[in-house]
Amino acid sequence: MAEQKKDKRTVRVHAREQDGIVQVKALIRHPMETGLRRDPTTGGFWPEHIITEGVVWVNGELALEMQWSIAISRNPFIEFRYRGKKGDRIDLRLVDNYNTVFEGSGVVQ
Amino acid sequence: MQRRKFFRNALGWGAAAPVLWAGLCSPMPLWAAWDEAAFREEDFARSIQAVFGNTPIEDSPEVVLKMPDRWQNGAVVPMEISTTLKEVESFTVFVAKNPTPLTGIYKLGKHVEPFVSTRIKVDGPGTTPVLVVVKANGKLYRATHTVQVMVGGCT
Repeated sequence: MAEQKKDKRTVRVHAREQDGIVQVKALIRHPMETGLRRDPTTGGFWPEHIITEGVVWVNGELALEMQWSIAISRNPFIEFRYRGKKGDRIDLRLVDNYNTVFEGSGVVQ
Repeated sequence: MQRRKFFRNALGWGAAAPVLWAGLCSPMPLWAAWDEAAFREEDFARSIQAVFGNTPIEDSPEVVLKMPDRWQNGAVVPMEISTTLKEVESFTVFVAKNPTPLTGIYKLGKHVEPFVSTRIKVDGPGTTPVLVVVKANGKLYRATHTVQVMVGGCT
């Protein structure tokens, strides 16, 4: 069974509504190791460890489906917008190549 | 009477338990569609082909790729994609000179504004074009932006 990370510090979701548009910002703590960086002490490569897919739901409806590569920065940040209102529920779920699941959610302020 | 109630409830929970259990340790996400072949492709033109096949992509001034012209740290380069096109389905980003050009695919749901902002790695040092392909209304449109980074971001 995949490891699950529901720690509030690992996935942060922040959503704010203004003039009918909700701005959602999410930050996930993850090394996003490319697999191309060398460990200076051993000479070998740090193994690839990246989040590969992520899905965001707004009130249970699919809002954003993402597929990421090694070229997404460490501690990935994503921002998107949609037409909504305060009180909407944002859910985020991501999985990495070690089958660890990252989950977070927030309510639009 | 209370004992009967207790057993009846217990039976209900017992029947539901396997269903709940299955939900708790469900198999990996059902959307497991990470396009490994495309993400591992090292050639820029072939990686575009791996995602879109031979579908023609036209340049469009309505696609806006907002990125810096020059940036110090290639490991964290801000990128903002937006467009005035309608019925946008997805954004796909490629960084031409990265070891594996395909950077990310963002599929938008309905009612989502055609806007995405994130941070990507750009390899370097050097100058590379960054390409975003927008799928809108079944057709493909693109915009490029050339970025110069001082310190490479991938290695």
